[in-house]
Amino acid sequence: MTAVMNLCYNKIKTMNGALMESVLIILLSGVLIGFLFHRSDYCMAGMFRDLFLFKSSPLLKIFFVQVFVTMLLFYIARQAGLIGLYPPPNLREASLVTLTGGFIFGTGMVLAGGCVIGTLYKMGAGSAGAIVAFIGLVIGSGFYGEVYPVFNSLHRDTVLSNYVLLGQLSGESIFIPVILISAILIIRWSKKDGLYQKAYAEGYIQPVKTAIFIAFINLIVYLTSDTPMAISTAYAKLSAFIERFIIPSHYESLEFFKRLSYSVTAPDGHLLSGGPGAQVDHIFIAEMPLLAGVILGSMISSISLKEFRPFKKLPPKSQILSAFTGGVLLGLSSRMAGGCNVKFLMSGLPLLSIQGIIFLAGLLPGAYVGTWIFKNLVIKLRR
Amino acid sequence: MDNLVLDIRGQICPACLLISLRELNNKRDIIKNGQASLVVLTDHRDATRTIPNAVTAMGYSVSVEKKEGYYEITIKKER
Repeated sequence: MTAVMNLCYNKIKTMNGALMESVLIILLSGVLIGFLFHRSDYCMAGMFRDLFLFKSSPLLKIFFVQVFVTMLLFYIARQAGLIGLYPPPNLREASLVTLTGGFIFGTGMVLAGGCVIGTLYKMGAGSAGAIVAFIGLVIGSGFYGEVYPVFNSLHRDTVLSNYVLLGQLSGESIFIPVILISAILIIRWSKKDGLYQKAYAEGYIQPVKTAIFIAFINLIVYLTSDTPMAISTAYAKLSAFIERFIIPSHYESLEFFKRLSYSVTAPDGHLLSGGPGAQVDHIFIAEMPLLAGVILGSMISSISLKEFRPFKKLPPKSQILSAFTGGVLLGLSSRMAGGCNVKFLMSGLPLLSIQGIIFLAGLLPGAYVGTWIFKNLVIKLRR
Repeated sequence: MDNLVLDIRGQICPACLLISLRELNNKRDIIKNGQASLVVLTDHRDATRTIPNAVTAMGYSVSVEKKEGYYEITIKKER
């Protein structure tokens, strides 16, 4: 394994020129995402929560538009022969752990007040609650290292299908009816209620524009890094770097940080390999600049609107506790499932990944439970 | 007319909308008869979408003004 890592590291060093280019493209993608998400307040946790809280969620329909456009773009890119690795190496087979992870993730994101990427753009805009959730996420991701052997064997024992994508099961032609039906649905929605959102915030960008833009950014990330957009392993890496710094002997004893999530050869011959450990590998390059970029982008947006007031107002204690607990659950569950809503919903669903579909099936009831807890315990606590 | 100020700056989602609606419900009588208006202070951009949406549907009139780093949402009886 060390040999593989060394090989990967040497590869990175030799292709330094192209590497710097990739890092810059992904960082810039992150900045754009952070900027747009802040302007549109594109909160995925809110989209699912409102479905249960208010029985209606106009923004969830807009997220469906994002999935649809991404699916279309990925499909065209595949037909044009631009996609080297399909299925991408950062998706794998689904198991019952994916379902359970999805459930805990759904609860966690509602309690945290944001998903894995929502926490980043809210933190960049100075939200104290989001900073608390971010700390929880790093702690939760690191804690998974302690329980990894249990969940890893559970995953292997409960694998649901040996395929990664529905298309491998049914043939690529499945995309044609899915794309057509989705297009009809979207046209009907936009005729009925319209996808336009009325908001009074300064510099508001219509969420549907953000949705379409993110689909294009995801394609750019896929073409640049050979993996579609993903972000949550970056949190595990952050906790790996911290743990190695504080308690190196314990860090060295953990199997989780030594494993590789994938190790494959790209069509152009270079090796793609990466894992959650504290090293600069393919996952580091594909996810860390994205994470930093989102924080930076929303900070730029919020400063330019004169809305950047970090720590000016703190949420009540019950909400701080909720944000922290939610963050820990998000970190833990995304490692259980092997990804978060970014990889599974923004990238996985457009590829008809079985993992993505199973994750969503767990996330929905999880978000219902999270909404119930927030409404009845968190808000009620401060009465 | 009195201004009942509700400062929910810093609160995480979905507390903004839920707390505003609860406050509106508690003070329903004096707002509906025009004795008072509810002024919500929020730094949550999405609240400028969700709160006006919800209270307009409930038959109130609403206006939003940007202040120093936050938004002031005024909810009154329908004109």
